[in-house]
Amino acid sequence: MELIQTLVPLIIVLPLLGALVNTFAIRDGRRAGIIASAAVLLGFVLALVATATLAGLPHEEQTHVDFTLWQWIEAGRLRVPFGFLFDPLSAVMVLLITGVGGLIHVFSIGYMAHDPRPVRYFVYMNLFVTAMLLLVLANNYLLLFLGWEGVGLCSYLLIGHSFERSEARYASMKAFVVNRMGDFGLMLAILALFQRFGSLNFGAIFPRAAEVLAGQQTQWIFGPVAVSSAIAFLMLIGVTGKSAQIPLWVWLPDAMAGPTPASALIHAATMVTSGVYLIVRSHAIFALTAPVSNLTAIIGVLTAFVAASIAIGQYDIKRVLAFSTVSQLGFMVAAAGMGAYTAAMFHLLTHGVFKALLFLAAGSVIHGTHETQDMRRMGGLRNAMPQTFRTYIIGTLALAGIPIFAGFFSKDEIIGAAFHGGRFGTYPTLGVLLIITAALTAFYMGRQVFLIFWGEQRDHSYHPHESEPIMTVPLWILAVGATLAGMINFPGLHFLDHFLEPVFEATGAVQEPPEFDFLLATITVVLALGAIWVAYQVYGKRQWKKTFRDPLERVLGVFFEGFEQRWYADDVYESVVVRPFKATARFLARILDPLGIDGLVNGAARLVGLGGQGLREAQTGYVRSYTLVFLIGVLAVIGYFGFMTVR
Amino acid sequence: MVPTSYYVMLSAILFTIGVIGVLTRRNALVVFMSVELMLNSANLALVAFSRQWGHVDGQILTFFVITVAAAEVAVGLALLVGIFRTKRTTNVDEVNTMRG
Repeated sequence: MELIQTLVPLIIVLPLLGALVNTFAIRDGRRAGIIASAAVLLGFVLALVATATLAGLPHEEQTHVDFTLWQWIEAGRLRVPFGFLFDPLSAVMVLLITGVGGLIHVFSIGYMAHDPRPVRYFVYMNLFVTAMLLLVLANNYLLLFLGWEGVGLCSYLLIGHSFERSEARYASMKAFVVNRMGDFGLMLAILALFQRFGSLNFGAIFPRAAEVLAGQQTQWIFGPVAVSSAIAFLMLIGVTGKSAQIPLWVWLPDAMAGPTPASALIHAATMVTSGVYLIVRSHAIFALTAPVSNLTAIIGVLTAFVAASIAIGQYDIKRVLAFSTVSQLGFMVAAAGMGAYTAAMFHLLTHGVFKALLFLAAGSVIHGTHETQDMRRMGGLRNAMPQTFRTYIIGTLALAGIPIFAGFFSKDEIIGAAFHGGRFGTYPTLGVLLIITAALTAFYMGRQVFLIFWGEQRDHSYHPHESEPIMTVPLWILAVGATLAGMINFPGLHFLDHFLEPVFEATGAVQEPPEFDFLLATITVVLALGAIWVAYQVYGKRQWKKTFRDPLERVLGVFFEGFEQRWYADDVYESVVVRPFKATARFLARILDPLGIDGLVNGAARLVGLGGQGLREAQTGYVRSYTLVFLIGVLAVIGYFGFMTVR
Repeated sequence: MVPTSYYVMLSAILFTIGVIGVLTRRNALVVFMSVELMLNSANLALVAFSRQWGHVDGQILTFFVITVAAAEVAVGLALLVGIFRTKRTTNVDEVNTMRG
């Protein structure tokens, strides 16, 4: 208990300290990278010790490691502590963030060697980790929101790291603005929680949630709704922003304009997972509302499906992975919506590992091909980059859901939850859609691998070379993780289920670990293998020319164009949101402000000036005219009083 | 005995002549004389009322007025001399440097 209370603040302070040291004392990029990596990896070691200590505690005490460092805000009824909650859920998140995040930091030392501003990069990375740790360790919603905004800011800074490129600048602003829309929802949810519970502490809200919110209704736009639904819905808006779900997903694919390891950090271990974490953390509220939970599940599945279809039509190596992230986040959100909270966390963990691997391996490919990102210009890289190739294959198999690799177990648990029912019933339609999405995933990953590594090099304007060990070693560690991570919730053993049980027990949301469905697993595996085989038939067998045109374009026609153009989502946003917004801003700036506001202010000044001008005329300097005025005044006063007296 | 109203009437006539003098004449000296005329019309009224009510208050006030008038003339003439030295004129309409 005391040990954890010392370790947890240290875990957060370490990356912050790294950022400060790098800001003020370090000029050399490599040294900054070493300091930054050490700070995060040391945090991982401490997190391991803390988690082991936590696991050693009695079962029912594991959710009570809730301690306050100091009182942060005191204003009227509002009392917000700067305090942390270290329970199995936050422990799992901290291990993922520091573990995977640390490896990404190490990889960055090699990847950012030729960058003009490596120190800056590592400072932002460390700040990112600090904010994310604050988010998952907070014991109240306001502190969580601080971390929530912190990762938003750091993602903006990292995506816009190469600000010379207008693409990066634009993407960073897009990420920032779209996220703010979601954050507004979360902010309202937090205010509503404070209004109902009089506190923002998790410990004060979750155990009482069912009792306080039971039967309570509030006015919404379309009539009365349950308060629990309203709060959960507002939170869901925040989730769609951070975890890139429909309709706020448009920022994530562009976010890959940042340095590739930063994308890995954003896409795998941090930021985007915070939406899923928020639902699982707030499951006491979500578990009360079937409508919003179902909506969450539907949004998740739709996002998973749409994003997977888009990934098929992309040519940029990172863009495929970015849409894959959106798709996989859809899986997690769907699971959380179905009430399968452990499955969501399980997939969050395994995805964190293998997506980090894939992104870093893609970074290695980009690095080794001199900043080539277009898969049409690659081909045949397996001989030039054997280490990257092998790890990429492992990441692909894990993502595609091939047995023994991590993604298989976690994805099947989500699909299983859809068919066998969670808290609010079964979702056969959504389950079928998820299976199709899983097959699509296997297909686009196969397409990617065959285009990058098979055949002959199509464009010879660069000489591919393998990356240095500082990059390949983290790849191999992650590859081992991607292979074995499924074991943490192996069917029948369910370590993760048991570890997380106290969290859900406290709120009565605990559920039996789903039985391993052999038929379902067979279907998904056969489909995944089939999809890879199709991908091989289409992309792997033939020798493509430099002017590569996707063969699917002829077969699918207008659909492929839809995939390629991201279902025109950005164009819709452009015409529905951005353009009207710009028009309004232009109206305000060019018409309302100069005429209305300025007119009012300048008009008032002009009126006073005119009055002064008039009075000035009266100041003739002629004594006699002053006297006349004086006389008239006196006569007026006498006349007035005379009149009043006579009357 | 002459009725008080006669004195008051004369006082009013004198005051009016004084006012007209102040308003119409341009020579500062004449303006001053007109002011004196107004002050004296007031004194006349005060004395007349004093006699009417058999009080000395009005007569005492008259002395005050004469004193203040003398002081005012002393200051006013000093100003006038000062103005004449710089402007070479006693015409009040030409001394309008304080206009807005």
